[in-house]
Amino acid sequence: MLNNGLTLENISKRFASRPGSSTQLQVLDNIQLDIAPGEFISIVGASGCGKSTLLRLILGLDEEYDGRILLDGKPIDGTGLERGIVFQDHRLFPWLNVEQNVAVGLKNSPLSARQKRDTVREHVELVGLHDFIDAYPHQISGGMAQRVAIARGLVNRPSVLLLDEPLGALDALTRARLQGELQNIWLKEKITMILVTHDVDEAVFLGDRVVVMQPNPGRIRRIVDIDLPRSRNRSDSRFIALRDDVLSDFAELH
Amino acid sequence: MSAILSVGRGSRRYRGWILPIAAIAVWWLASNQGWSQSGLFVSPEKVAATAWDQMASGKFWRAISASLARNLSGFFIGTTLGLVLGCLLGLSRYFERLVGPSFNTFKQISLFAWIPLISVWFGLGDVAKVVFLSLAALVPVVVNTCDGLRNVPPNLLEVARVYGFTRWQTIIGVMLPSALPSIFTGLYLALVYSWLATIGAEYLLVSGEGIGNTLIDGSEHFMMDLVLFGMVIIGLVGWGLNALARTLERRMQRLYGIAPR
Repeated sequence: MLNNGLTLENISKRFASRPGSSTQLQVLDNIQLDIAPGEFISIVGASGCGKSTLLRLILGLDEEYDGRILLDGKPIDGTGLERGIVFQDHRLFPWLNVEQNVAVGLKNSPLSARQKRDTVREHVELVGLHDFIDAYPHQISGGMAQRVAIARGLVNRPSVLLLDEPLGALDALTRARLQGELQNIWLKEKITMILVTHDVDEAVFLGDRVVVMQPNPGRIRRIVDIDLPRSRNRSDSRFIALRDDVLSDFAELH
Repeated sequence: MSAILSVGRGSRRYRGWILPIAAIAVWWLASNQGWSQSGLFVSPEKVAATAWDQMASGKFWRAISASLARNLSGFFIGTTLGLVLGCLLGLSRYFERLVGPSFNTFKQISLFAWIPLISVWFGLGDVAKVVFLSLAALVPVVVNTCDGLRNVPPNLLEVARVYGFTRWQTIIGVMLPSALPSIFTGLYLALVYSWLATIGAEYLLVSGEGIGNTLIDGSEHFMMDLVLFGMVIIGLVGWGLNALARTLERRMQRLYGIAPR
């Protein structure tokens, strides 16, 4: 039993199949997972396996579920600044520039104005955008916008950062570069990260463990330990073997 | 080849002038050649002379300043009330249920159908006119403000929840800025409608000075030159207000990344 980290206890979630309908759709079925502080967990699964729903529950945006979610041994209550998120769409405010968008994360933080400004600048530098600090979202590329979103997610120094397919909408080159950057940020900040992705290669590249989920109802199929030193080399035979192992789960499902 | 193309491109900018210049030329020709003997058919020169006379005698300046003052006071009263009402409707479900159905019925009544009631309550003077103008400006502002606040992307509202925004912080920091382009569309329409309504009010609530009264004077005395002069002025002011609103709107859209730069 871990007492500081994130614990998911018997999480189940049902949706009404249609609004107002009494037939229920089981989206998550008895999810059990202990995540150690500072661990990088990748969750992969076909669409419809409930992986993004699970992140919304951990984030606190959706509070209607069975089971318990404990952070540092205490049940979570709604959203909280100790849990950050990067969505697939960057969700920056179009009327704010890069610096102001990152500062959105600190709106309700107890820091002084001066500390806020310094922290924002630090995080803009961390994602390599100091030259674009005054730019507006429509003036920068999709990859840059996603980096701003990462900086906004990190700026509170959350103990858990949730990543909901954050690189899914980017082109392959940008995605590979940001995977590297994400890993460096994780190594530097030493916070827990939970990445939801449908890209097995990305999951194995970044995760300490890869949680494979399957749909109908959404549940954990198995958990694969990725026992490789960082930074990982995608052409390493052990990397390839692990990736093929995880991929084989998907082959069976089809 | 490129020279021909560039001439073509240059002339395209002025293409909009062809029709009005041709119309004035035909008009001028018709009056010079005496195609019509009617006393109601006036020459361009006569209209220009009347324009000069109106300006030199000060009549024009009194009329236009009376019209514009009325227009702007109606615009400000109407948009202020419209913003308040639109925000209440867009932000409060309770208020929406209480007032929404009545407002939706109210806005179906043609603006000009209010004239009899307004003239009975407020007479034919400036108060009645400004009430009418405020009504004209109010409706588009309420509708667009309310729509803008209702259609804030849910994705952005989730961001506000994630970072623990209070209700007030969400309204000021997310909903209002997100609704601003729509609110601006309402103000733009209010500016255009209130000028149209200014002339309507002066024409239907006849008393005092204004460009609409200039038109009425002209038509009552069969002075077509005065009527035409008034029409040109109404068109020019409308065009000016429109251009002003467009410039402000473009500037704001650029900030929001909506319009191409």
